[in-house]
Amino acid sequence: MVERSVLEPQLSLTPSTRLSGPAALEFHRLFKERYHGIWRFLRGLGVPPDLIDDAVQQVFLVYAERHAVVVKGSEGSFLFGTALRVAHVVRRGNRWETPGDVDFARSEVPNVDELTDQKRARQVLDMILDQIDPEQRSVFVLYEIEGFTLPEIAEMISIPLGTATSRLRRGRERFTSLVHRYSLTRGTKTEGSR
Amino acid sequence: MTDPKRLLDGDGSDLEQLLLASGRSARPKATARWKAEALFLLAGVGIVGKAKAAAVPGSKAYAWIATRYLAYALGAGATAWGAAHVLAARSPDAPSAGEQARAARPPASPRPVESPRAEAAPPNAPLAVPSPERNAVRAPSEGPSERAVARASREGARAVAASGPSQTPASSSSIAVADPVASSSVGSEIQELERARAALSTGDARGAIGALDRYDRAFPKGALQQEALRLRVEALVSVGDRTTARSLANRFRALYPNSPHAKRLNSLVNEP
Repeated sequence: MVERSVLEPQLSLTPSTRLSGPAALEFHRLFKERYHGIWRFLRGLGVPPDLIDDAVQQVFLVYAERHAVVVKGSEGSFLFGTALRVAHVVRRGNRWETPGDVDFARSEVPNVDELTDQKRARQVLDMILDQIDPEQRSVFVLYEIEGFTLPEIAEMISIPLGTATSRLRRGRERFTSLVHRYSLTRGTKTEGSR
Repeated sequence: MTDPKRLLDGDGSDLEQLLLASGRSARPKATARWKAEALFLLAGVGIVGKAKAAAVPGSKAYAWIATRYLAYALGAGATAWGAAHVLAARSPDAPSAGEQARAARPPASPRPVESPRAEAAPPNAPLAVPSPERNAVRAPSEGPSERAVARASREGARAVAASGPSQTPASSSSIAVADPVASSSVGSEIQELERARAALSTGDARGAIGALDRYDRAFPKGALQQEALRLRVEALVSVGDRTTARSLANRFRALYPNSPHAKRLNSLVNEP
């Protein structure tokens, strides 16, 4: 069962958080630019749908609180890095399911032919991403869905570039093998060419 | 070291690309974003800023703020008809704005896969140039108030696109849209609460309480009661009435246990 209380802010909205002038404009600009991306990233990390909106707010609250120490030009990295940490808080509070043995044969799993429906495609994508180790999943989602570069990702989550590269490689291998398994179980046509 | 080619850029199989594209096209509901921004606005975070507020005095500033929310509600593709109903939908008994917007639209065609890099463009920018198709849909059913809302939304979108410290009141056309928006339920609610927040930020806690009393009388079932209650607790702490503040904070926690404000209120009323 999801514990919503895990998202209670770790920080309070102190008077210093009240932004004004250029800081407020900057906050507003970032909010406009990044709200969708942060929301999508949290979703890609597996934050449950009923917690995503609160989690996005939490990410921007953290930025509002710490904006003074965020390096100019690194705001996006800061927000995505914060989103990753917020997602981990949710994971801890939620006793998130660890990757196990997914059963694509279950009746509610859509067939390959049904994936033209974006919602169904996302349902399968989520099932597959849930089966990837969380560390690999973070890098995989940032790279393959959010479109960041590996050096950006390495900086964002404070890991060496080599580690980011290796997590992406292993994440991709896992993703590909899961897609293959899904295709064999639910597919009615071949996967297509590489 | 160069980055490998992304799966979506052709390095993945058709199925892999299809699945990843579905992840990339996931979008939040417009109402969720609207609520998030309302929360930040009323918490004094991300608001236009003192300089901006000073440059756009009085009702024009409120109209500017209110039109921005309309613009956000429309940003997800709702029609002007939907926008008019977004306001109505803020009543607790009404269906959600998202449902209204969906009802107002034909079934959505699959969105093209967008590049994450492209999202730097203001999401509501297209509103500044309404498509002929939208106008065609809108025109037959428009009543006077819907036209006003539609216009206010376009003005709001323009105001957002033009937002920046250099914008002067003279260049703003928000005067013309002040009345229609201010007369809307949410616009008026935001206006009253913004008055309370502004009074509080200048140390005029009693003025803030006065504005909140007016809010409670005018909007007994208001959509922003959570924010009103939070502001009242802050104002009561400012005037030294900690007993009432504490009891209200307890009520807040009971009513809104998951609110991001709950923890702040707790520390506020328990500060020495």
